[in-house]
Amino acid sequence: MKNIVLLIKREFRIFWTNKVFAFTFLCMPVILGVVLGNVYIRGKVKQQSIIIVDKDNTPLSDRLSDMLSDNPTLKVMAIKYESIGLHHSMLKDRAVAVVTIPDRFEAEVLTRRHPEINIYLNMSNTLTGGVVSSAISATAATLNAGIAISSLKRKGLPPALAKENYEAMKMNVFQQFNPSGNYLIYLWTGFIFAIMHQLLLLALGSSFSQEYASNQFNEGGLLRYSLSPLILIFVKMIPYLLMSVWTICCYYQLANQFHIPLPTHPLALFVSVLLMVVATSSLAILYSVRNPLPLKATQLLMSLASPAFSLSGFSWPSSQMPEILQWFADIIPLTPFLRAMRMVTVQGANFTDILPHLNHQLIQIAVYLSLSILVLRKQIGIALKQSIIVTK
Amino acid sequence: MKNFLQLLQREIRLFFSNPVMPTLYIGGPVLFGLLFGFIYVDGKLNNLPVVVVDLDNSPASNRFIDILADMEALDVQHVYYENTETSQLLMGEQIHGAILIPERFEADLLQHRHPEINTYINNANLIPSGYISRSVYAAATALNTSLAVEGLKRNKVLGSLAAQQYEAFKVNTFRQFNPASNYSVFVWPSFLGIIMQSVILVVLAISFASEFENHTFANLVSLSSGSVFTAMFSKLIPYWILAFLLLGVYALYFHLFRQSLPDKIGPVFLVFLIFVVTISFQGIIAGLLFKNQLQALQFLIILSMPAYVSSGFSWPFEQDGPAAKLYGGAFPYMSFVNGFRILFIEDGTLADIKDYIQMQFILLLLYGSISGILLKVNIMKIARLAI
Repeated sequence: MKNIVLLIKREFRIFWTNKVFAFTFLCMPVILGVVLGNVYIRGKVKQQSIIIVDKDNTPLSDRLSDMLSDNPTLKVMAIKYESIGLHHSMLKDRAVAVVTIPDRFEAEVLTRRHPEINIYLNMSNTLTGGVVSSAISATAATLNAGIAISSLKRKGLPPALAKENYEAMKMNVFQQFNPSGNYLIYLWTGFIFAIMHQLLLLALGSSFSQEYASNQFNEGGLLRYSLSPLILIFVKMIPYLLMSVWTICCYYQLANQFHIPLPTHPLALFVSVLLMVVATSSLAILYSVRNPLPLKATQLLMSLASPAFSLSGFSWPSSQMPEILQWFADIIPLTPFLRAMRMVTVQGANFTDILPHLNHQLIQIAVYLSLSILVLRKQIGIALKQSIIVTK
Repeated sequence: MKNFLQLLQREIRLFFSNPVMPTLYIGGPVLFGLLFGFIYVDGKLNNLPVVVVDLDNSPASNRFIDILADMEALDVQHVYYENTETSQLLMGEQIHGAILIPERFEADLLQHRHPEINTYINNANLIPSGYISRSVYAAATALNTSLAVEGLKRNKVLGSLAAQQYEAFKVNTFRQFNPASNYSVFVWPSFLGIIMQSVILVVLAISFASEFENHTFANLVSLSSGSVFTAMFSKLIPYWILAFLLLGVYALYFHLFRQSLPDKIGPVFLVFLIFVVTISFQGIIAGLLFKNQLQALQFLIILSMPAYVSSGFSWPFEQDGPAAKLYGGAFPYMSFVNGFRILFIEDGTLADIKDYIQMQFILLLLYGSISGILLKVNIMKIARLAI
């Protein structure tokens, strides 16, 4: 027991000697959490510039222009009356869409000749393109319905009936779990935990390899305290587990600052986070036990950590990726955690709901930990044999 | 000149003798490019699982289910006839939406009593939820239109006229530059950019830091006879050459993932060149500050991660909060990737991205001069030590 305390103290000392990394580990999650939250601070895309080309310039076309400029998602940059050089002005003003109202628009609506409004959408950014497209379509549909209802009324139908007669049936869409489609709620939590995952890999990826590199992996150094691989691994993990609690507290504060709704079952989330930290640490330790060069171990882990977020299916569903990538994603500790985390934070899940993901995490831990113990035991054997040879 | 060539040779030797560098610099971009290409290989979401609760089970409700099943983005996994525990189905990522057709749907339709279909969409992930709501709306509009047209026909309006009378006017949407709104056309070039950024940043930082770690910095200074310019560029040029080889690999990837290459390659090349040069200066600064390979690697990897998110590539840059704008703007990636997209996907010209190019040059000058000054300071320190 005394040895374990000594070892943990030693581990903290090693952590502090690398000042740059101590700063990175303790402060960067907070700084980057603020930056990332600041990106999506508005939650919804608003005020996207569009250009209206009104070739008709009549009360009805003005009404459509007014309705478009009243939409909070849209910002009418310019109303033009000729469609000359549209492609160019789209590029120059960086407009997301150009709405062209044809000549004789009002006349054709009044004589029921079914005019057509053309929308040119810039789809090079699918996010803004999609938002602007649905805003314009909604506005046009509103005007269309208004005209249809007023024409029904003119035919003598009472207003209440006219409203019902316009469509045969009605479609209600209920957006559940994140009803406003807020980007901050959607992405931020995933990003900050991806940062934490990466930091843990960086921290523990060099843990044992640093001992090899600084020639401490022998009876004079680390092995003086204990020869049990389990204790050695455990001791390496404890300081980072403790410090992760600090990171989680910071994230909790940030979530409050950004008005992110808090989970209804915080305990389920906490358990899942702890399992993620342990699984990530075990994976990193496995790498560092195998690689005597700290730089090499770190670099190998980075090749796993950098695409982890994209692979996890947090934004692009993993069911749409090739199967081999799905397998690869299942190895990474971030994947089951992000799935469980989204269910707990956004969907109000409890323990039983996330049980399959918790099991997935436990399997990861079991595999990585037992492999690390095996490899470490072998390495300890080699180190002891070498020291015997040296003493001889 | 001879010195310079010697230095170049030395740098290439160092590059290949470091166990980390070749895999990081050559393997990283090649493998990551391939990986990201495969993640978004379809570019569109297809067959997202949804369930239908059909409380009516009539010809009309079955017609609606058929329309839903015909939608490309939807996959009707199951049709239930009782609404029990369907809300539980939406938990997790198994089912993305539930469509509820009410009891007496057909009867209400026939009697013009305006039934309502309710759709519950799992909005936890905004990308599939957007696809689903669009498809469900399209299916409902299709049914609505055909019912309205049929109604008009029954009222003795001619078929062709009936189709016109349903709406007062028609709205056509033309999706430009990326007509299929293919996600991979949108996202893939930016991933290649972010990979290049992290790799160049880290590799140059490691290259300079290793000179200090292996105590060869004095050797470098004496070989370049104390000139900042020679020391810096002899170390930079090998990486720049490799960067352009990697660009060639990316051109192959574009072919592999069936992405179209731009017509005018010149401007794209120019923007890429400024980008690479600016990042390498950033890398040099980090290397000179940390003087330790591991620390530089650890710090830079974490630092460069949010550069992608704050760059305005998906979420518009103008909508970022001030802190995020500052962060994103400090990286050359922001001005590069936004200008690059206009050139690359929107067929723009250099004149269209004047502001981004200006920003690129400002960052280039800024980081170039900082790295020059830092190197000069370090060289002077060495010279003082030698005396």
